[in-house]
Amino acid sequence: MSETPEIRISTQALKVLRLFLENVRSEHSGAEIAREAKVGPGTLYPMLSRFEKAGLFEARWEEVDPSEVGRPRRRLYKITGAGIRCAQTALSEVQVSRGVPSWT
Amino acid sequence: MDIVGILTAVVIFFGGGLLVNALFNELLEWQPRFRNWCLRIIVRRLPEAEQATRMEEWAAHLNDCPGTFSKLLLLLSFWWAGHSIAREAETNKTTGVEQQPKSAPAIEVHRFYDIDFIGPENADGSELSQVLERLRNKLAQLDVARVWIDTADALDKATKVQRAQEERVRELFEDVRSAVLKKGKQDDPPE
Repeated sequence: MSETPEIRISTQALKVLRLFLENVRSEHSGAEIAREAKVGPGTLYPMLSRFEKAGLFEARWEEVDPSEVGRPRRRLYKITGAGIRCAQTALSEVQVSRGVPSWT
Repeated sequence: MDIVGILTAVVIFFGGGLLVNALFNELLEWQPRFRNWCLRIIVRRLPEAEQATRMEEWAAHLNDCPGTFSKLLLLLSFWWAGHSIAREAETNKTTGVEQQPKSAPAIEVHRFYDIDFIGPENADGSELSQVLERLRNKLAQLDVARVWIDTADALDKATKVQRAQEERVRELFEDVRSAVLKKGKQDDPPE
């Protein structure tokens, strides 16, 4: 069995992971994640930093020219394969107790 | 109160109001610079490698946030985020904790979504079988408990190319999917 990154999965982290599992191909900026997952930026950014370093998320800059759009570029986060696996494991532990199948 | 007193009160009232309004507008005009100055102070505490990234990322977040006071509250959140990130970095430095996993997964599952079936329509079924056989073998080698695979999406791509053999593709894909599910169940810890 491959090693799962050791990372703290709090309730807030579960909210974020669930958001990404809704569509594993989706990319979200920090502002979107904070709004959709209802997680405060003070908690969110250290979490994103940890997830990125652990290889659960990958990030890229929005492909726009700041001078053209008149605003700074957003940083977009996407869940990785390792992240999906970690999220499924973490969420299944919660979901099993509620009778929801962990494999969807 | 005499007339001079009343006039003085009126002048002070309206003059003060205008002055407060002017000061408030002045503050609003300076607000973007003040925000950037605050952000610079906040990110200065972060590890050097993260400073530029967070500066731009948080500036974009501030830009997405409506309202003057909301932005100021957001700055407070960034201050707290910066504090947490800096503290974690410092803890890891002193304890030697390595955040990166020791062995990264051998394959990233999301890449499965990018599988494309390229070939002429009505291609030889055996060629398709070989491709899927290789995919099945690759999946079987995966040492993972659960794999997220969007069979429907991949099937849709495959059938667009191989309409004539839709049923065959469907069967093969179901075969691969059940193999992966079986593998997942085997790897699951006992209840």
